[in-house]
Amino acid sequence: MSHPLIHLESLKKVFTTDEIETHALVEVHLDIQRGEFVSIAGPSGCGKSTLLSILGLLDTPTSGTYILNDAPAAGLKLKDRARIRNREIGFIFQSFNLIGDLTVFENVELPLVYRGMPAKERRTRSMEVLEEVGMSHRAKHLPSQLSGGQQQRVAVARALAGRPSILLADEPTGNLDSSNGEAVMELLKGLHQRGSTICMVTHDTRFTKAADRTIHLFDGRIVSEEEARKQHVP
Amino acid sequence: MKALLHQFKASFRGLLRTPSFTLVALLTLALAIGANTAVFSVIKVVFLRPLPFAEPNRLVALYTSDLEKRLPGIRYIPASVPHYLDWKARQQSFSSMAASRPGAVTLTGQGDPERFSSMEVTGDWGSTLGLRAPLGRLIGPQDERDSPVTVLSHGFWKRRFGGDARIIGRSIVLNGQSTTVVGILPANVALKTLRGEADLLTPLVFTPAEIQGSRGIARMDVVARLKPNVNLAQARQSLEGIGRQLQADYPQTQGLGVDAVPLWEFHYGEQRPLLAMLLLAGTLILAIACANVANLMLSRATIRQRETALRRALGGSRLQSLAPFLADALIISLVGACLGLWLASLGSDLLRPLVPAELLSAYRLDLGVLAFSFAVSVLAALICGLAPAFLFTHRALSSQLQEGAKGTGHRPWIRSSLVSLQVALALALSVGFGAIWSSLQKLQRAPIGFSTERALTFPLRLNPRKHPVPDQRERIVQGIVEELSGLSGVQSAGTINLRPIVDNVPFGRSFSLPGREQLSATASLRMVSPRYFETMNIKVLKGRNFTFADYGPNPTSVVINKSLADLFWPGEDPIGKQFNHNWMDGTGGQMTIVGVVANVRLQGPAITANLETIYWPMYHFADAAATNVIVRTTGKPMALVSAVREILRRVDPDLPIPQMRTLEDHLESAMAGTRTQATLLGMMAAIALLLSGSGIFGVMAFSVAQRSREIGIRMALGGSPQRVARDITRQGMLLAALGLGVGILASVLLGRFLASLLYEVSPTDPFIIAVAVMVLGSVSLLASLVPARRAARLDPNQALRNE
Repeated sequence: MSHPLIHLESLKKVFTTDEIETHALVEVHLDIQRGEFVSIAGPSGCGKSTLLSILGLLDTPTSGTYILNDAPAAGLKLKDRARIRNREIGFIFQSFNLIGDLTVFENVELPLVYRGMPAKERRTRSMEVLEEVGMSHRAKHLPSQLSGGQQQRVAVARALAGRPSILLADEPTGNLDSSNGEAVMELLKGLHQRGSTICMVTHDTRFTKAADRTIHLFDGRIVSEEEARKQHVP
Repeated sequence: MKALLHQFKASFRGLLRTPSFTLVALLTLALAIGANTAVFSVIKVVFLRPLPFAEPNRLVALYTSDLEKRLPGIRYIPASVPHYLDWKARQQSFSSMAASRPGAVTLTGQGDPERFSSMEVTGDWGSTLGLRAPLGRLIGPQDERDSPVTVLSHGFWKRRFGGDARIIGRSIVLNGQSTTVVGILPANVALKTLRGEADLLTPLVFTPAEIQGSRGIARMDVVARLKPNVNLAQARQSLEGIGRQLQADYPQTQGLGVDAVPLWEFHYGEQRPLLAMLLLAGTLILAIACANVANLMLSRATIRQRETALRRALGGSRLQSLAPFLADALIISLVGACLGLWLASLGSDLLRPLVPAELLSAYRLDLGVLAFSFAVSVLAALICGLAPAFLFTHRALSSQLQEGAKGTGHRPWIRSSLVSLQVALALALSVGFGAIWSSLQKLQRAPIGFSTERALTFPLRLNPRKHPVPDQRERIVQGIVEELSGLSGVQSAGTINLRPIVDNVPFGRSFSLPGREQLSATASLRMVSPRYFETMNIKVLKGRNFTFADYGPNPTSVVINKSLADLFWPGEDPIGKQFNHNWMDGTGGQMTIVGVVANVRLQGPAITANLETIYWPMYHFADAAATNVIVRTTGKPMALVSAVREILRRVDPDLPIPQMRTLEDHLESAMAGTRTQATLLGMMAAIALLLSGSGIFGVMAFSVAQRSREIGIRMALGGSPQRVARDITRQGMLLAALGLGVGILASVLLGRFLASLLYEVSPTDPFIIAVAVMVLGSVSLLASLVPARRAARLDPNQALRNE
């Protein structure tokens, strides 16, 4: 059996403010295989976003092991973490997080700029992914000129542009109405069917069904894991 | 009232919570108000002292106009006695006219004899100027006939007589004659003469010889008061007619007219370019500071956009929602002004050495400038704080409540433009300072034509009453020079009637070549002793130096300088050539050239035009008892002072002991003006650098704070901290580069204000501009790096989470 793309073992995250310790994640064990679509569900404040931040190398665990693509994430320098984020991870945020001063095209090509890719190649790749999400006709628009659903499509295109090993989506439908939300989910499903690995945080049960596996978090712990239509109690 | 107080308390707390904003705003205002006030207080006392006379705008100075431009470089030629009397008799435009001329008196009977500069004035001098004596009276018409009297300047009275009011009516001995002190001049009246400020007034009484005498010997300043119904243009037209009449009546004065200028222009006109430059520099500082304050207030207003919307959503009126901005601006302005006043007071102490000693009593912080700087800065703070807030109150509340937290709706181009403007203005100031400083450096190395090292100099004024015969005076001076030459440690000694650079008095003569009378020119005239050239280290280029044989009652040998030789005998050997010298009234004689010496910059190290000079073999000008001694030493010149005093006392116990200084000292004094300019401009440039640096820092820091979400996104997408820092720095440097580009253009445009103040330096010198660009570029880089580092340290997770 091949090694999982993501391997978490005894992961802990503790926040300390004014001498009060908050255990955001407790003894989390998790493997995500290549090509898998995993959703993480749970009530507000259960640690979903913290887990996603750690998976995306935006945050570091207090203890435990995190191995991404066979490489341990512990002890990485800021510069190396930035490089891995750029090459291995694609982010999709709830609030889209497009840069308002950049056009749709410039937003999409940004990860490729950071990668140092030549302009011509950047252009081809960016237009390809914009085509893929159906937004190539809006390439020269500013984000403020797009609807919420369109902005999230652009965000997906941006996440895809660098051909990452995994897409991390944090409540990607949270800021969208139901029809736009469904459209974005269809897009993610399509990507998954074409082989993308996706890890999505959501509390909308309608969308967890799209995932191969749903992990439920409560008070920082994984309390259950549900494979498509089948529940296991660890 | 209670609500207002509450608002001020809230604003005060808010300002304490944002120490960077508060500190930068306060520092900007304090520096602008403080520096401007301190610098302009110096400018005012040194350059802009108002004329302390009644209705000064009706006072004019009359002067002999050089219609044929025979005396280039001399702006106002003084009047001769016959000319003055004719002007006075023939004019219709003035209610009164008076004359004065510089003099010198020796005070005896009060310890060691002392020499003081004086001003001889006609009896109507005080009434023409509209002056009143605070103690006693001024010189009046009766004094032109009665026994000798004097009026003391306020400073001299305080200095020499301890301000004792009982001096009025007492007699003192001036030039060996008992003279009654009849009054004291007001404290704010300075007796400005070509030789500096005079200490006392004496009556100007014309002798019959002067009245009938030469119209070419011109030493008098003439002042007149316009009649109430006459303006300057009408008076000048009338004077032009008088000038034409006099040329017709006295053909030897052909080419000499009469003209008038406002008295202020006469005294301060030449300083106009300097004033323009300093005023411009001050304005630039104020503009930079205003741009800085404007930027800060704009940023703050943008941040508080959501708060404003919230206040309105909760039912607050538009005025109520503006109250926090008003309170902020007022607190910042008032505290900034107080700090500015404190800085101005510190600055005024620092600048005190720039103020000449005689003006120190009048030197104080100028409240007018303080009020102006304060008003402009406060206005800038209020307008820039309130304007965006006012605009926000016109936008839809819902959009502001949604967008406000993200800071959208702000106008970054305004802030960016303001920063670029600051950099541009700071560059213009820095280039100006660079040019003046470079000019000063070049002046210090200017080839003045003589050596100032190890040279002692002092004026020698014999009492003409005690030594009435010119030959006798000549022998005394010769004896003194001989004795000085024999002193141990003395290399040589010589005399000259007017020392180069030190005695900055135009004194010349026109001359022509025999048989070629159409070729005429004017040259400076200097009377020198035999060893003068040797003592001054002035090179003899051709022919010979003067020998004792050249000295006699009617000398005919002259030495000329290279400029004159090149002008009249280009490519020829002028030795043995003859020329006619003429006074302005046509009298003169014929002289033979025996030597050519190197050029000497007589009027100052920067004056390179009209250097033509004729040297006569005389110890002093025949009619005057005045000369100046130069002693070249082998050791320290000031070590000889007591020996020199001893010789002077022995020769004539009544001889006033003069002030002795080194030539190096004098040269330093001659450059004091440029040094002051360089210091003032340097301070202003430094402040401009600081302000524009803080401006860039403020905008970039604000930008980083506002864009933390964007920076977080960039980092999430793989932007490394270094890359983020580089992007932020590049953004700051782009603003700086734009400002530098505009600044270079501004420097070129503003350079013309500087041109007349510079010596052998172009106001647009590429090297100076390059250095200024580098300095300002470095400051900009530094100011951008700090926020860039802050951006690089941003936690992307935190930045994204906050949104």
